[in-house]
Amino acid sequence: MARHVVFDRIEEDVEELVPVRGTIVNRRGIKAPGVVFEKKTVTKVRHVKRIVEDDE
Amino acid sequence: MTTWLEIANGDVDQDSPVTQPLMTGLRDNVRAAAEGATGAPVLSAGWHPFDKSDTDSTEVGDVYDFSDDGTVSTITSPTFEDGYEYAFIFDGVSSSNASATALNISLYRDTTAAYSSAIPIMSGLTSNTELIFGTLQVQLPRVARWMHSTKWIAKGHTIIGVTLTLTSGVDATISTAAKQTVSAARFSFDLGSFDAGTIRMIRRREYISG
Repeated sequence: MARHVVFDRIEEDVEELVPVRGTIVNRRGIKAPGVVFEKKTVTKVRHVKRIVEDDE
Repeated sequence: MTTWLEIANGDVDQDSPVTQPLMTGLRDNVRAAAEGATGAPVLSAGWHPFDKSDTDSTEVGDVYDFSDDGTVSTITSPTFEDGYEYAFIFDGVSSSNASATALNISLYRDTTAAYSSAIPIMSGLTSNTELIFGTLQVQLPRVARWMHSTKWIAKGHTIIGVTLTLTSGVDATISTAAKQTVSAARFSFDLGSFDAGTIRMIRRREYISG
């Protein structure tokens, strides 16, 4: 029985608040360019170690 | 060292005040990141553990650690990502078989969809008490090429006991039938299994493949 180290690539889609340029409105109702936050789906990659066995 | 300030989304959203700590953080964070201050993101242009994104995370790029993984016959690296090139730090790696003569690397060729044959990166091993050290770079694996090569960037050597430099590493070149990328490396001995030491994977940014 031989043991091997392998890694599984796991891609996860997570929702994150990402700063984007947009238009903000101040308390007096005046519009100006500024930073607003949008929920965006970001793909994150993880590698998870696993030991497998075979009959080699 | 300059202090890194973690700026929360709530500190820079609409109607948030421009405070003195916020402005200081915005000024100092560039310098703090350049210095690698605690909490700053890892600068991807320099060698860093493949799984470490912030300087205060505990990841060290472990691919193999005998104390965790035990005796294994092959070690397959995590998948290489576009935009990075990779290197492996061998620290006290050894074969379980006294007749082993070579530590080999195989590279996974994406178009061929198979590993290359095993090519020696350390040859002339003479003992199962021989320990291997060094840092091996896999050069630009994500750039499609006819040939992919490895190079010892911290010279690969072995020791038995306290005797230094019995064996030197060799650079491997793998040719392919079609221009293609490489997405993983696999290590093995010609005889026996890994039964000591650690292997760590580090990477740095290149701007050719992505």
